[in-house]
Amino acid sequence: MKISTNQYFTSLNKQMTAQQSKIAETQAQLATGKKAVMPSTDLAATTATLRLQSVITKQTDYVANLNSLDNRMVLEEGAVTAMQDMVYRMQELAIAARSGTYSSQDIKYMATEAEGYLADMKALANSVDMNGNYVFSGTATTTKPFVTSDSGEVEYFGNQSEVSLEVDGGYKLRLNTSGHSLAGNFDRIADDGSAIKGDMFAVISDFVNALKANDTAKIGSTMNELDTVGNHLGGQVVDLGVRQNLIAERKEIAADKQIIYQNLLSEAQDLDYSKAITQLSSDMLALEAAQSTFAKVTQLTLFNFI
Amino acid sequence: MTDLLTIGATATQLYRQALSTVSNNIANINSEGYSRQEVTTAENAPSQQGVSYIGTGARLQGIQRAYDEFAESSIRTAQSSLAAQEPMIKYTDRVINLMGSETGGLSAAIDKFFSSATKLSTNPSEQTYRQEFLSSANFFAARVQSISTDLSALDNEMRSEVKANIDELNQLATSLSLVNRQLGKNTKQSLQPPAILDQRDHLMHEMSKLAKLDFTFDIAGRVDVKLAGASDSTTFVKTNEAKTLSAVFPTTPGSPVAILFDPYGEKLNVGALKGGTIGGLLSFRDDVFEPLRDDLDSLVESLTTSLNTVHAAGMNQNNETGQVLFSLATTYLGSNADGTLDAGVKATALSSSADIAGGFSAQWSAATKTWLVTDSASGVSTSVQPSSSDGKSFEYAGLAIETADAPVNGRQFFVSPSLRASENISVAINDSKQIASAGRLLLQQSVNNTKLISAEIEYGQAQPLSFAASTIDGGSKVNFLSSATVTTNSVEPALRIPKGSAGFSVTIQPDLAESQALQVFTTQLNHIAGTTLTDEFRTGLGSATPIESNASYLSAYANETGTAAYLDSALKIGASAKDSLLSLPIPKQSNTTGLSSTLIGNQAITLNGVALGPLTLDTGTTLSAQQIASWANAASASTDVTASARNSLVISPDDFDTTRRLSINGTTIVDLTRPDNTRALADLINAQAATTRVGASIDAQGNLVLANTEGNEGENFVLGSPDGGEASNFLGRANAIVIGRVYYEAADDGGAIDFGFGNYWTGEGTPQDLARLGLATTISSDKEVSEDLLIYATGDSAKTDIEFRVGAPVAKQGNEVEEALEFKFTAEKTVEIRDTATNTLLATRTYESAKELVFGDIRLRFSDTPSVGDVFTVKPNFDGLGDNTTISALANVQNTRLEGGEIPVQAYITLVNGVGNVNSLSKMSAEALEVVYDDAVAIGDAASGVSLDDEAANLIRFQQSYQAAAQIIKISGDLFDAILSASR
Repeated sequence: MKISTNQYFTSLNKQMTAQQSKIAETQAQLATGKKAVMPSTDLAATTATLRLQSVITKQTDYVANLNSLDNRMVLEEGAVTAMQDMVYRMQELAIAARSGTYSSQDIKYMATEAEGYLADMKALANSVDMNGNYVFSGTATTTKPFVTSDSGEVEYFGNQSEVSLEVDGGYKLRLNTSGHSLAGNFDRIADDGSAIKGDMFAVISDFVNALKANDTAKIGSTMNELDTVGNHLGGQVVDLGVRQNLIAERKEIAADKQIIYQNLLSEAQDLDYSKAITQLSSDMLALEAAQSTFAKVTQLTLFNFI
Repeated sequence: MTDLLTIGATATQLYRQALSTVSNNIANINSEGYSRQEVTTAENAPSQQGVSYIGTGARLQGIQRAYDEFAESSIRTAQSSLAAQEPMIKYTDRVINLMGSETGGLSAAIDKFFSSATKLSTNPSEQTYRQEFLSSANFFAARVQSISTDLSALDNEMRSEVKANIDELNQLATSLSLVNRQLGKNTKQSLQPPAILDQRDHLMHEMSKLAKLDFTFDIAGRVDVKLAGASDSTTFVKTNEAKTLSAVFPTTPGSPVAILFDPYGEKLNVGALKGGTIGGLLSFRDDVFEPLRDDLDSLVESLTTSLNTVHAAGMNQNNETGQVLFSLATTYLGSNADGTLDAGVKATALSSSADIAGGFSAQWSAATKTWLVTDSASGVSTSVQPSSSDGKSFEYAGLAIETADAPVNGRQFFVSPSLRASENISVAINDSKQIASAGRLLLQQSVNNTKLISAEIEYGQAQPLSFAASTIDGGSKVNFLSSATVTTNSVEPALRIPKGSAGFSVTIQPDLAESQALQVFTTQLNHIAGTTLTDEFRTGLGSATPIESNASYLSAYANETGTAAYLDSALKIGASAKDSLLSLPIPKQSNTTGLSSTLIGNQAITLNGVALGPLTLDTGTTLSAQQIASWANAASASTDVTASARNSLVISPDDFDTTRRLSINGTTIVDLTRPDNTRALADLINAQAATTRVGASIDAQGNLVLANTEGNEGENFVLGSPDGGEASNFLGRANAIVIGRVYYEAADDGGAIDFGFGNYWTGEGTPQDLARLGLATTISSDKEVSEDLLIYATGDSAKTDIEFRVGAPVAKQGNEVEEALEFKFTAEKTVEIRDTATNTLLATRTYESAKELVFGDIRLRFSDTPSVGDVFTVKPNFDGLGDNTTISALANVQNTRLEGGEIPVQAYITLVNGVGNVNSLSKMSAEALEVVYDDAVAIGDAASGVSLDDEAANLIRFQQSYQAAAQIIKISGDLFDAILSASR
């Protein structure tokens, strides 16, 4: 077929331009290290990147939640364990006081010691986190949860709300222990024999008063109740431990997931350098060849020979 | 006569022309649209000499344009198709880069918003987290707006490009019509100058680049042009004439662009413009861009609705329930005449009723100092006075308009509503305290409960109760007075009084023959006013749509007053007024039994709480207003109400029927001699007043007034005709008994007149009894309605007329928070739900172990079955600063599927992907079409392109031929010289 001079130049030009833009694209990829320099150059990579980044953000949030939970558990565990130790010590005091081997003066000292534990436990139950929020007041975090009333009873002013944090799609873990759960609610028998309810502070105050009064019978009955309180706190510690284990497991799972997603992200958006460099060299070779043939072929015209 | 010289001379001439044609080809090698020209030579006719023919040389037969008609046509087609892909690729690339960018797109903004919500959920009282949440909400709104603004800019650019391209098409059409004119000078295409034909073909190429066109050629080579597939009537190049096309952009989002033929003349709608650059632009806009923007809007609407719903169910740090988080309220934009944004104009809606659907233009007149406002939809112009002396601001259609600079004469701008959600989005709260991070309600268990169990509460998720379509739903409009005929004894309520209405009243006035009553229920089946119901009706109510499905019937508060009433707020039942009350005309009640009859039982009706005695009627009489008044006055010492009766009739002289006669109480007043005027009639009546005990007077309007004479007030009187037999009388009235009305007056100023019932519940006193007294029965309250109330009508008849008024909703300061509720397990499986403030039993429930306990939109779940006596309190979650219920739920919206079935980020990515698919399809099509186009061009070029090698060869060929021909002339000269010298 006959090829006109214009057509000939146009097609040679077109081929060289195409080669050049290919080289420019590969060069930009190499410079940015990304497969898609602009979203439009590789949309599949771009949307995969967006999707994975969204998932990774979510995972990062879950890890942050797990860390918050972990910190919180440590904070609560410290307080509850300390309370538990105090209750054990008070049980020892009760046994000693009932043994009959101590003088009334000794028992008074014991009363003073136990009173100190009561105050300490109240202080622990009123502990605050690093932001100054009360740990055991439910969600009323600015309300001091345990306050001694005029009649000497420790009353709870927080609420009973316990909130949880999401640690994976739809899976939630409890964040806080309300003072209501912490202090417990035990069936007790009042002095007049009627059935009443009372929390650990009521039990301990009664124990302190029994020691003060050196009322052996009362010391005996409160000693049994102290056992219940100790078990209750023990239960809390176990519960915290279980949740801490769950958190540790979840953290591992989250870390694994992070690695998987990061790998996928890298696959989606990062450039394969060796492939790109090979591509660049071959494109450059093709362009050089096109340029040199252009130079030579365009020399060929009949007019040179007239 | 031929000879060597002539042959040589014509041949040199021929080859000179051939050489110049070749030169012309070489010279035009770079001319666009040029077709190679070819010289054809022909043998001259031979001359006969004897029996032989001797050649006489050659001549130029013609210079042809090397041209392939079919190749040209396929180039044009390929060009239209290819050019259509270019804008598609260019603009989809831009949209993808805009929306798919990691930083500029929406996906990162959505992630950031939810991430900050999650962070806030770890510690909702942390101020820095709250601020961060608020700013990421703002960031999200700003990103949405910015993407929308960029898309609008793209839209504007596209419009300009469409306009510019259409202008170019119109210019090319004009040029083509001029070429047609030139071609008209010859009758055959073969006779046309090649340059003109080149020009014609070139114009056709250029036009095909812009749009896909149909070309029709006539015998002279002239072309008619119309859009491909369009009707012949829209042929815009017709021989020597060219008409213009124009593109009309729609004002409402989502509609396609229209192409108009001859926009200033015939204005024909051409239909779709396909192919070419313009077709590509339009197809991008109509098929990709506008749907994309609609989808983006629905995504934004659907996401913000989900978020707002969750947020509204929360409690903020000001102890108010959450308001909306994102507002999509319509915003208004100022623009210049060319559609670009006019930043100097600010338009704000004064209320939600601002209504300028189509927008308007405003122009300042310095002479009159007014704005001339023209509504775009109706075209109606009005003069609007500025609201400031400098003219900078004015109000129109519920909008406040403000210009940045004082207007100069002729200053004009347009204001239009932004119809796109993505342009209107804004964050509705500005204080981090307003973030409703906590739950709205708090569940507390009593410390005296048998054991500590885990209890959960959920709320705000229940579907609102629905209403049957046949009922009057007052909820759709409030603060109105209306009446209706309703079905009685239907389990679906006749009327709903919506929560929040400022009071209401419902009135019935049954016929004396019918027993009817009104009943008021809450949606919890708590019967708070009414009468004893049949068991059947009561059971049926449980299935009514607005009644909560598991509610049990309660009637402890029915008709009670004071602290015994429902929520301590009694409904008023009966007929009441302050100061004074005038009854309606007393209905006719006659006793023909032969015995005295009791119309109203003893103590059936109370007045101001005092039970009234029985109302009896002697046989052979008709109850008069006077009798009722004295009945009521019997107790006036204790009721503090005095009743007086009156019976009067006002008749206009126009009503007088002079063909009739008149008697009053059997005494003839007018017989065959009729009185001439009202005064004469009054005189006739008064003449008999002593007998009839009815007198007449004339009021200021000239009407005749009939009334009882003094001392006989309230007595009945009978209008008739002297001999009977006629149905009506001189007064123009029917012959009948006339019964008066009773007027009650309180002893003290502002004193109450309250007619009630002895016992509405048991039927001791009924609406019928009040109707006997000419009074209607109303159930009303002047307090704010605290929950939806359902009104039923019961009784003998199938239908009854009711009249009702529902007050306007009460404006709230801040957001309303409900009262505390108590859920008490009073017996095995029975739960009582009480309002703690008034200790009102709102509802009872049967509790099944391990099942939810549902009350309204509140759902309670227990880890263990509560014991009898256990109490759970649900109250507003005030000061629950550490509660993350709502913010957690808000964060979880990221995992919740939106309307389209995808989670928010995914929905957005799908949007971008949709554009991406169009983009890659277009790129693939473009590649394929490029091959087709190149092929067509190569074929066309093979026919009409100039090849320098070819021309060089021709140059040598014709030059040699020329030189040879020159040699012929030389030889002929030599021969001539030889002959001359021979003869010498």
